Amino acid sequence: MNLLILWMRRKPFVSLLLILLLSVGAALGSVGVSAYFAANRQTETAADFYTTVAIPYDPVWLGRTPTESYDYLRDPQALYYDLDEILSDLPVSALPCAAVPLQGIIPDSVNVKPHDFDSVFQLWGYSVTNGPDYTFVAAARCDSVTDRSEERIYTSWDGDVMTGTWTEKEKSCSYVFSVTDPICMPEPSKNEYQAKYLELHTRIYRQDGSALFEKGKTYLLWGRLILPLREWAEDGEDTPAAYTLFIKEYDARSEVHQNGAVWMTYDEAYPMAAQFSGSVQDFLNSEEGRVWREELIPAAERNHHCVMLLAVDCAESLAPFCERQAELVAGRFYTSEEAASGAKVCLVSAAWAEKNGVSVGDVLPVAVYAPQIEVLQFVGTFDGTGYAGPETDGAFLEMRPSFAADDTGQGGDYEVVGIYTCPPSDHGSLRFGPDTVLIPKSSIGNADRYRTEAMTHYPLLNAYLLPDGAQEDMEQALAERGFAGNFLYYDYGFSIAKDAIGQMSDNGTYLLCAGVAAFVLSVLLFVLQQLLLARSIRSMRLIGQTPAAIRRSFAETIPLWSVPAVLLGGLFARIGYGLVTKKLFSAVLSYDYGIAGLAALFELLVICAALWIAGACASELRLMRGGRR
Amino acid sequence: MKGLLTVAWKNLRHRLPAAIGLVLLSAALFSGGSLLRAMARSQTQALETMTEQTEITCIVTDATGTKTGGINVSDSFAHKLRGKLHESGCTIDEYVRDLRLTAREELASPERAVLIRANGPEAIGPDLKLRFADGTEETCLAGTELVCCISPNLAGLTDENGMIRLERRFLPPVSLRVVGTVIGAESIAVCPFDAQLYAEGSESFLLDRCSFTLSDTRRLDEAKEALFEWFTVPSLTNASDPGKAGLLIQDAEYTAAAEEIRSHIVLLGRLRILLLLLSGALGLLTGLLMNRKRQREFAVMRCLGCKRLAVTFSAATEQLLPMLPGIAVGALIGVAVLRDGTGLADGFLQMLLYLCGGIACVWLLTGVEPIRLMKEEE
Repeated sequence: MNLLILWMRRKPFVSLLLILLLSVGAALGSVGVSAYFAANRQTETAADFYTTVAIPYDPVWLGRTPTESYDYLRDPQALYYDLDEILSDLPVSALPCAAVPLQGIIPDSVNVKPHDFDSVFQLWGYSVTNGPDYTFVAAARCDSVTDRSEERIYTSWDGDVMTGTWTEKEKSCSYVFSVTDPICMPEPSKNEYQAKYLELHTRIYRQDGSALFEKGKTYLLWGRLILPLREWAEDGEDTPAAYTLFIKEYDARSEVHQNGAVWMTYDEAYPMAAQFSGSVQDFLNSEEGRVWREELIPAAERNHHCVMLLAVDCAESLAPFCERQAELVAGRFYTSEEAASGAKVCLVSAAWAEKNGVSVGDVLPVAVYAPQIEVLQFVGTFDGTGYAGPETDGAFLEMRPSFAADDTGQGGDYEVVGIYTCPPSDHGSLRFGPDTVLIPKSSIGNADRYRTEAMTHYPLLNAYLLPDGAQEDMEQALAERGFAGNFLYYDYGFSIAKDAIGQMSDNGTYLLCAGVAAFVLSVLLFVLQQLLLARSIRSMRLIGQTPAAIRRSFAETIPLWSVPAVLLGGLFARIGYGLVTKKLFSAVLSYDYGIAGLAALFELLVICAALWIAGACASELRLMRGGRR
Repeated sequence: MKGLLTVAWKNLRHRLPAAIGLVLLSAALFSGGSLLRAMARSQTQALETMTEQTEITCIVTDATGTKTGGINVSDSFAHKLRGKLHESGCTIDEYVRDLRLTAREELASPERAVLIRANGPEAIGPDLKLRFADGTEETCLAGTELVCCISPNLAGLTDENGMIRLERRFLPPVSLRVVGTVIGAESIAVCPFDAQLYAEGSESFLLDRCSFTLSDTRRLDEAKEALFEWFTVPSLTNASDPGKAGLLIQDAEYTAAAEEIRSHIVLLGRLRILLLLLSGALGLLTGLLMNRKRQREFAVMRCLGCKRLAVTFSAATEQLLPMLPGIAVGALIGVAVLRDGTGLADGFLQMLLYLCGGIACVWLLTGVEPIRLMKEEE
């Protein structure tokens, strides 16, 4: 008969108390572990609400606050081409989160008009891709041709000293058309009237020097229209007859000017025009009109349903959101899991959603078109009327309309998960606005292939995600590499919250230590109590039991102590952590059975080990010493 | 009394291991209680600091939320936010600071010119900059003077007195004194938001942009409740109406993080309650373990003339004495870990409950009747 078990049977009350002592220690240990994990989970959850973003920008804006600098992020700047390389060896993980602009066609949708908002995301000036100006096809009669050629005086400089002047005749011509058949024109919205007149001012002439258009002839025109100028009559009403749209020319290729300066010519520029006589329909049905029928008119129509798709893995990393200029009004951002898995989810602007009757949960059929971005390089200064300033040194982007050949065959049905709003903007060539639809990059196969080298010039497209609170470390590391002040940091207010969040993590550690200490203490007390059985153990030895038998006796009692103690401890922890205080406080955290189970298993092992050690110590008692003196 | 204390001390010396155990237990309970209290307190302080430092911006939108600029809502909302409609029961101005207001008006002349009313340079946004003439303070925009800043291309329209005449579409023309330049756009005139442009009476107009900062983030919930009595939650299902304005409160991150931190403080509170309950239970348990075999001893003391209270006192003293070094050790641990002594009171409360548990147990054990005990022994 195991004397220790006999002792337990003879003293059930004391045994029960000892089990209770152990179980209370185990409960405290479990609670400590649970609280530790709960606190860390809370810390992570709280930190997840924040996103820390680093955006490279031109150091010329050093000394400005983020808010002041934000406005300039939309302009092309001389950023570093080797940004990834600069950031590769940093002690801080800077995850590239570059955005890729694409074209999206959403059938039956209408894009937001520029004069409603004038805040559309653009890549250079006015882009046909997303509706600030309209691609159009119209039949129009040329009503007037006005020669606007003039003598211009130019000066040459050597440093700050003017060395000479010369005059040069600059030829230009204005044409006014009246629209006879608006084949594909933007639909007028509120307070707008269908355009009746089109005006074109250009320096393009035919090779023989004659004007492009002849008065009285009818043309089919394909091009893009820029902001209309409203004419006001004396009574304050719009005058429909005077509503004129201006045709904007495309920038094309650079050419060396006769004076040596490099400037942009209008050679190969739009609008495309075809003179015809008779009915429009007859012309379109003819072989000559085939390109209009099959290419240009569908392209114009497509562009009326075109949006800027901005493929970005973390929508919160975009500067307008960081700067709190853009804000969610409904739904949510797509999650990092959705972004990683390539889920077909998107964010649309409130203005676009309102115009198209879209709400959160709706599904949009999106066809993705390659943007056909052309990278044009300024290698000098423009010497003319100043449409491109000398400060624009570097590449810029030009988007072309979406032709059928640009269809990537990608896209699909995208679910709207969030709706954002953004303010109008009067500045910046890279704008973000109502016609921008945000999608996860991985929802487009290999979206990065649509990036061009010139995009590195746009800070807004080149964000980096940082671990929360890492901006100081990153800035310090960059300073060591000589790149201090080259990034703007946004953290959605994490720097203010980090102390409070860090405190939670510290508390978790304290709770874990306290719980473990309480458990260890209870085990020590229990082992002490076991060692106080020295007289009984000595008696067992005296009646002939070997140390091994003693150890075996202890081992046999291990499950009798440890299992009920751990089970009771788990029960107490569950009751103490949850039920008892649930009535006193609103339950916020759920009890994590997995973690509690692991903690209980660990405690079981510790109690078993402690008992085994106690048995080992007790079995080696010297028989000739001891006893109460 | 002295005799009882001596007895208690001798008893403890005889049961040294148990006494050491009690010291450790007391230290653990005391430090645990003070740690929890100090943790909860420092967490609460951190949350308060975070709340104080957090600035929550509110942006007025149109009712649908589609616009944050060009919102075209009635200027009555500006009056509400500036506390000019108290008589209507609207007191939301107490939640507002750094109000930024602009209104735009297209002018009949100069051609294509726009007049912007703004209550400060910050209100007109980053696209435009104002440069004031010497001797003019930018605070003039906050006043009611008939002054303005104009774009350089309008400078030629000023007269010899530095006045510019602006023809309005539907109201009589107004002459404003030019006090500065607008950089960043052509054909813009910026005048004080409250300038009395219409001399013959009050004038209503539509707001272009409006935003403000909450005056006290600690009163966020209260402010939200008050503000949304006058503003609507922007929704595409709302009808566009100048009489209705939406309000976006940029508090998502703060609210979510603060919610987590508050739940953490709740967790600490729950653990404190748990530990307090546990202290009482442990007091009972240790009292039982230490005194379970001493009923005969207590009976003898009662027979010798000790009152039950005195016997209880003696036994409770045996429990109290190891507590004292335990409390000292626990206090040291508590202060050393968190460097914050504010939790000591909770530690004492913890020990008080522990002692109460022990005394209750002893009181029950000393209630034995010697005669009945002798009969049971027989």
